Amino acid sequence: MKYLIFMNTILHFLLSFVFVDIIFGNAKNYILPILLFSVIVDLDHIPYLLKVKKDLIKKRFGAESRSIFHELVGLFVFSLIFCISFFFLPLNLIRIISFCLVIHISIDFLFGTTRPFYPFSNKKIFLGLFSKRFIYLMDLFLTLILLIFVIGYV
Amino acid sequence: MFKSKNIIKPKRTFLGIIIRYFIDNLTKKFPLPKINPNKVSGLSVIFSITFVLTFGYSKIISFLFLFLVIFCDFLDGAISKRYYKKNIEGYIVDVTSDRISEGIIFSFFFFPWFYLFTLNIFLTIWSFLNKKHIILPLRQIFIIYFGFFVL
Repeated sequence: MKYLIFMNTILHFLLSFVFVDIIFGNAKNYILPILLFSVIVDLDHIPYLLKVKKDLIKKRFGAESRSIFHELVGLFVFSLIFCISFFFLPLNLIRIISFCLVIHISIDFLFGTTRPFYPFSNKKIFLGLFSKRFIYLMDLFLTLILLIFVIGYV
Repeated sequence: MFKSKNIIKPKRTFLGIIIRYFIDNLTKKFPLPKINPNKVSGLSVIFSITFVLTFGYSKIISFLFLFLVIFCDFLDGAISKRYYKKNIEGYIVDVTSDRISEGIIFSFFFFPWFYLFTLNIFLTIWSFLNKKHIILPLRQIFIIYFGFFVL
């Protein structure tokens, strides 16, 4: 059986929210920036969805569904933006949004198939920390647990 | 775009070769587990997350996690050198996990570390394109800073 290997967008937000709350202690006050910057890189799935349309089940969310913004080049572009924003925005906000974005990319790198040097190389990487079946189940299970937790907390 | 089969692993600089020579000699007699080095690289990213998660609660525990991050970074290179033929996939996983690990740590300790991290991503991409491995050892510098000024 093949599994859809990707951490869903809701889980990215939920994990970022929980991590920010543990680290910075006031995630409730930053819920909108957390939501925005924990899912912003996933917007590149939209052109892919429009492209594959009905073939999504066959083609799945593989590394091809991710644009440069999911990889090292994107991380560099976003980091540059954060470095410039440091002079205009409060430090805590910059720390939180940069953390959310890096956590998104790190989770995709840990559990999904990525092409870190895209567009310079198409070499695909899958770390294999856990089996694909386990990742699929963990994705569903964690989303449900954290969703209940975050709704109860907020 | 490069074709995956033709990608050549970037070479270390003279200073990098000297440092690697000393580390390799140091680890020659150490027993190393034969595990997938990519998994060890992944572990270093997980330890980076646990480092920032524990920082607010105990600086000693977070320091131990930071030490584990650097130890995993050293271990994946040593394992791949001893048991596996070093290839481009290993290099990509190694440098990517290093940059992500730095991103997690330095988004928390923003200034000036995040600026150096941004420079390091640029250097990583530059190294890949020019086949010359030039990277700043930021986490190694950071652990010294952390040990002296934060603990």
